[in-house]
Amino acid sequence: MVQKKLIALTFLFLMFFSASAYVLFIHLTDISKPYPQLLINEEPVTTQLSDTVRVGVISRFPSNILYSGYQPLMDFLTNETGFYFELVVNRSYSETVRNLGLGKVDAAFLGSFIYLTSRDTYGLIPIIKPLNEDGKPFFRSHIVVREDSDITSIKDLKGKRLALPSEQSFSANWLLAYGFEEKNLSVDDLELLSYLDHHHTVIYEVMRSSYHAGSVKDRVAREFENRGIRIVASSDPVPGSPLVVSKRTSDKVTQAIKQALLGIDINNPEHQKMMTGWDPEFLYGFAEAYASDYDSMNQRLGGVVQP
Amino acid sequence: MTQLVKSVFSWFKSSLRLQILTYIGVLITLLMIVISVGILLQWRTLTIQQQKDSAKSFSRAFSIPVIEALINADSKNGEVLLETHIQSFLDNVEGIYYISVLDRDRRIIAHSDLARYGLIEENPVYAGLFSTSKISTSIFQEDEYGWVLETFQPLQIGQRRWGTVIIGFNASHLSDKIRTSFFMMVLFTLMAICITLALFYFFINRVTSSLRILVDEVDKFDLITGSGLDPEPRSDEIGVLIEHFRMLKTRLNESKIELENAQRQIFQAEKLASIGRLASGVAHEVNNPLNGMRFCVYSIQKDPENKQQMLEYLDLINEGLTSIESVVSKLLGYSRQRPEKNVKVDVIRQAKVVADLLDYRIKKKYVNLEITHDNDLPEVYADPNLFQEMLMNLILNSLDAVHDNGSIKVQFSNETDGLCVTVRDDGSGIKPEVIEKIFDPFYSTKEVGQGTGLGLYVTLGIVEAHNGSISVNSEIGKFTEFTIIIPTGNKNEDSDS
Repeated sequence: MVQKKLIALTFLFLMFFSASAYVLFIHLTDISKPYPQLLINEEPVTTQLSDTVRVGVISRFPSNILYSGYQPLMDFLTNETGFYFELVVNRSYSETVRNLGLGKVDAAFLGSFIYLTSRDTYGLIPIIKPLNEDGKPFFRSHIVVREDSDITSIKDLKGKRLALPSEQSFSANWLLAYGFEEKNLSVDDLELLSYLDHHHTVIYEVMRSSYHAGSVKDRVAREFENRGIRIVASSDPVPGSPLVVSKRTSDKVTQAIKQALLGIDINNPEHQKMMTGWDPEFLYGFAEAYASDYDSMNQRLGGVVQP
Repeated sequence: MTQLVKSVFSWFKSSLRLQILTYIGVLITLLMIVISVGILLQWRTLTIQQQKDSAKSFSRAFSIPVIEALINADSKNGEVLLETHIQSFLDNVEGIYYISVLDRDRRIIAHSDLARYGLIEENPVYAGLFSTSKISTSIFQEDEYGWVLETFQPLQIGQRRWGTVIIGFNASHLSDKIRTSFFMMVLFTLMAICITLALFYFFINRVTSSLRILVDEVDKFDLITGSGLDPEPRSDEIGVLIEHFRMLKTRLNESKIELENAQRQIFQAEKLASIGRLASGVAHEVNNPLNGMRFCVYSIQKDPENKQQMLEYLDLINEGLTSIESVVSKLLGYSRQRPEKNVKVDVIRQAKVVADLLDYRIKKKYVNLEITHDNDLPEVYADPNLFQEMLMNLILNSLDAVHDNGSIKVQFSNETDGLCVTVRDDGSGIKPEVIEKIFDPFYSTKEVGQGTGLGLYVTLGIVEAHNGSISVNSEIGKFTEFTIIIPTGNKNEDSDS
């Protein structure tokens, strides 16, 4: 009798376990997961278009790289100034300058050379220039080759294929106007000279051995140094690529930009954290720029840069 | 139900092996189930997360060229490029159900299903996501595809947003994998439980069978002869237990020998004490005839010629010598070293011998000693001397307890269990609080020098040596009654007569 009762109890026990296993099975195989609810602290995307400040940038890098490095800076300016800053990437250097002159953009990140060549034409005013890692408002251009290349100086470029970025970039014009002249070289001594779209393109083509050497700006050369690229020659330091406004740009916007960017303290951990992801050219802060800063550079480049 | 639980509980309590098996079995089962479920849940979480991460990676990989296309191209060229990306992705990545590219206004600008172009995405599940910059995932089941793992990838750099990409991945294999794993885990868990319990059952059986063998061996151990308890030696814990039982057996045998020696000494001491108490009576018994004999000898020496007087006095001297001889004989009979016997005892005769030995003390206190018996007394086989000593101790105790002119009744009767001996006196009685101590050795209520405290202890030893029992009933100031039951022993010798 007791054994029968025990069997009944065991049966009940097994029923309980079976039911539990079934519930577990249902739970396990139901893999549905809804989308998360909007987080309260999630920073909303700014969509306000009133008081929009459009900032152009020359096409020195591919668009996605430009957006990755420059859009956080736009977000910073939006948060700091009360204006909405929109980045406008153009296809060429000249388009950017033209847009600035025509008032299609309120400010633009230009190269030092194109600023020099177009400042008088469009009435451009430099307001800010980036600092380098030494805290100075200068940059250099560099001649780069593959690490396994036998080229060790500008002199060795004779008879070689040379890649340059935009014709309106300092990196291209410095080498042709000053570097070659110093070494008694001319364009005719080269096997091939090509102007490519971006500084990064120059690096990739040199790596692919399409060209023996290339000229790029400091920030790009440092990015690829020791990753297959070697620097064989460098320019003298020249004033950094300026953020430029036109005469059409309101003083309020100009002052807001200057105040925000000059207020960055690179020794402040919060600012350091904020600047993570900014273009490497902006990681060391900014200094105020003046038109006279670029006069000496104009003199050094001589007649090449004269319109 | 309560009755059922009680009966099962009672059955459960009846076996230690069953209890151990049940407790350990339930513990192992629960532990394995918990571990299995834990592993399964963790594995499920990891698998789902892995699928989500993989889908996110694909989604990010897809979004990079899409962002670039949206940045570079005007709207018309951009849409052409998007279709190229979508088709390329669908061709190269397996398990994608659909890809949808939305602009900032939630309008579908590219889709793997051309029919959806231009539609506004108003599904409420995305409501909270259009304002976030992070990639999100969702898993759901729908009629057309079954299980779908969907990624919601904002096309955004910093705070600049171009739109959103929504990609639906096939997640049915994920559900199938989890289902298969569940059944495999159930199977393995059951197998593991069965194997573990079987092994445990085997080992517990080995242990309990060893214990049963040990118990059988312990049962064989004879306390009287000291034989038995000789199981096969083993090297495990059971072997250690057996070894300790052997040591216990040795100590028990040694203790038994020591106890027997101690008892023997106690018997002797008590006997000497009894002799001491008899001494005054003996002295009187011997002294009286001696005085009479001295007077006779003096009279004969004074008048040796008076032959009639001489004959008369010689008869008196002879009578006195006989009396002394009788006393000495009784004393010798009591004090000699008694051999152990198991003979038929004439209990009435033994009682009268004891009464004779105590005659002087009885008369001194004018105590009325009454010995009665049934006519059909059972045959009792015992050591006559020990029987005497047992009665002697009880009657001496009664003599000490009764007042002058008191009464002591010794009764022999036939009981079912054997011979019943009752010694009852109308003395001072025993206090209830000490009645449990009276059989302890050296416990005495008498004044120092008056008793050894061993009388009742020896009596108890004698009774137990004959497999009997002794009990006491007393009331302060009224009576004390000792009842002894001595079972009919085995006959192996002739009677003590």
